[in-house]
Amino acid sequence: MMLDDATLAAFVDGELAPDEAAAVEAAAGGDPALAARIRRLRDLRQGLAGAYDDALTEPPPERLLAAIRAGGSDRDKVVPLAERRRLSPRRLAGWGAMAASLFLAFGAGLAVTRLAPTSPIGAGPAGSLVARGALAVALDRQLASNQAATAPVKIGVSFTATDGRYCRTFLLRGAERLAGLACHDPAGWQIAMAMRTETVVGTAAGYRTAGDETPAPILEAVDATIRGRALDAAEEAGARDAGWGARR
Amino acid sequence: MPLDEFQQRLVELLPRLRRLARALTPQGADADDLVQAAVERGLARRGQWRPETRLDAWMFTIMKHAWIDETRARSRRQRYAAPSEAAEAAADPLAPSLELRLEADAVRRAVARLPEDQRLAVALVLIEGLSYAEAAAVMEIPQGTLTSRLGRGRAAVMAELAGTAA
Repeated sequence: MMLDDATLAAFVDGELAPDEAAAVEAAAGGDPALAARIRRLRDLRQGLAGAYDDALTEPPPERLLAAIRAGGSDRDKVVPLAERRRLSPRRLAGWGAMAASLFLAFGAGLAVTRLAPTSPIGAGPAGSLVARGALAVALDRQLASNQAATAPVKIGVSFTATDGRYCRTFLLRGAERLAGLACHDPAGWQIAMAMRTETVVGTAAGYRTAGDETPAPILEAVDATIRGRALDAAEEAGARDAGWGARR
Repeated sequence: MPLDEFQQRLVELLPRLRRLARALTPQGADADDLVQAAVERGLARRGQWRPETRLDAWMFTIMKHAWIDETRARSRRQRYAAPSEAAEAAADPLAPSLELRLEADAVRRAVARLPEDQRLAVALVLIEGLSYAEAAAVMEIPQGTLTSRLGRGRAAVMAELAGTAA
């Protein structure tokens, strides 16, 4: 029985079907050279895993535990320098420009639908765009932790932005699939950015965008503006029940 | 504030994240930086993780992206560098009966010399123990590509470990 390296490697890796594995074992039983090749491959696997074993037994450094804790519910701790920098007007201006360009990408479609009374996005004060209708209701009331798979609006992640406002990502499942990010202020839910999802193959960070996934450009906007980590289910419900008042 | 369940599972996963990071990052000090970057990204994107899927594979994928981002420039330089000694050693088969030198230092050096795509395949399958299908999913490549990278990586490590003993 001639066995190539790839087959032997798959055998040692546990990737052969049971009958193939049994055939290799039977062949090795009567072939010391083959048995030696298998032993070498096993030794190599063991040696490789063993060479990095100390990572499994060493206690992790405090800074890694701190990084995990910082992603927890204690958002009101001192804001790290990197996040304070995010508050700079320049950064926020850049974000606005990004949102604007994404809106431009809509083309005429949005200009028309914006005027329709049933449009989910309408004109707000001072040239802003605000959520309306079902989108506004969903942003106000719907909890990501408890929403129907067929609901017309899917809420993604809710978080506190560095400017203290609550923000939520959303996905509209209607005829026109829109994904976006809205932040709450006294005038309602301001649309910070929105985009058609069909046209997005955003892989900026290597993440595929498909179906109900939040497009990468929106996740990047979240990453750029989030304070701490996203709200968990209890915090989301608490913020909703408190009317999404900004946290300073 | 106690850790929530997601955070708790990340803490439990830390040793394996550190092991993978050490295999990927030849300089030990960089390994924990990579773990930290992956942990922070994972927490920021926790809403995307589906509880019915494996958290380790999800975090490995995030770590892969962080690793690629941070080493893109370095890996580009490596790609255009002269063929590595490991590749030359692989082209020069040694007597198969020769014992492998499996001291941890020698193994880590051999892994560090692998091209980055082969190193990732070796780390996920041979060090972290993922199946071919799981490793291919983490690397976001077809399984045939994974097995070919793994095969070349394994052959190079083996040749180097046999070669240094000669």
